[in-house]
Amino acid sequence: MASTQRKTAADRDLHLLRLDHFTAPVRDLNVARRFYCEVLGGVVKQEPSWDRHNSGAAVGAHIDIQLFDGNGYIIGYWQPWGQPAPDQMFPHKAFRVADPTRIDDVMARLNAVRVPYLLVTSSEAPDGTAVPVSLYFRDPDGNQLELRCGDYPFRPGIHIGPFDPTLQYYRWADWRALVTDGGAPPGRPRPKAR
Amino acid sequence: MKPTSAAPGFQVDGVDRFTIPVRDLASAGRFYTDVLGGDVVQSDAVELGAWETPAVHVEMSPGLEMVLVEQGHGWNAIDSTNPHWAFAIAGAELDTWVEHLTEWGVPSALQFRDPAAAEAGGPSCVELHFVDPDGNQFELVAWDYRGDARPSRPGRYDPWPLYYTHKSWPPEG
Repeated sequence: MASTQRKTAADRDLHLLRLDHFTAPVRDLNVARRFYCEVLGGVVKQEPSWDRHNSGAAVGAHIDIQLFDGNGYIIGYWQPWGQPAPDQMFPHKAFRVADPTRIDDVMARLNAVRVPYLLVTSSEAPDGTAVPVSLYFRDPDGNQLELRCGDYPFRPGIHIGPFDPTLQYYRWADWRALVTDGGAPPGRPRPKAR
Repeated sequence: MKPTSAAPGFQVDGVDRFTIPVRDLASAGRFYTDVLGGDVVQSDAVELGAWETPAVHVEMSPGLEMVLVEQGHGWNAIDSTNPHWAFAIAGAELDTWVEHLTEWGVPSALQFRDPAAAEAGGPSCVELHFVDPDGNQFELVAWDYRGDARPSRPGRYDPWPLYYTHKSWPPEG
């Protein structure tokens, strides 16, 4: 056990002020751009630069995307390893959606780009009753995402309770085929320098 | 990069929560409260997936919840720096955070985004990188750090010295 004399963050009056950013490992920055901007409506805050990678000063590059108004933005980092397995649910990133019609909008967008999803609630309710729902889906690299809406009208077809996460799986290569080159460095990933 | 105002077209309104896999809810809860200063707001939660998995909600900063979820697999390799989560801190508190993490047996690494500004007395942006006992990667960002006598460490940090084992955390003494 830890010493009782060890100070906690509260003892020291230390505080985290706000979310700054959060990252997702992606295999190709152009694929990430297409998904997070065209499907989720994100706006690029900072375009990638491969200069430091190409000079050997760093490994990789990133694209910074604002997904919502307020603190915090997502960084798609080129890291072609470390993606979650298809049956791994955590960690995941859940976003808040107040307007239930927005859930329908996103499902339509996901249908259009053939991204499988699951609309889930915890228990059955009379049709039309407002219930909390979660829309689960993955980005092309397999990073688990969720849109959470507290007041979505219940209807048949909404999945109730636990679900099979592997049903969200789809092929990254199909998305890669849709974007131009330049979202990843050519050749094999180089080991990080010492 | 500081957040900017939104443009129309966003499909989401903000972060609902971030879920974090942990081996042991009690030990992880201690890290996220005593070390990072979060407040437990729900201790008997569940997260859905293939099962209902026990979870604890911790408010880390105003309005931002991280959910600790029991999961026995899927850990980050120590040299996989993504995914990670970054929180802003006050620059004046950066050195205290370093000392605080050290006292709790959590190695950390500083990364200066603009070493020249730091050497000139700032303000400059400094990142403090570390991992939780389960290997989840975190970063504290001070946008207004004013340089001190510490030698600047520009560029990349080495993630390997950040490793420690959950089995011996928190440390004795």
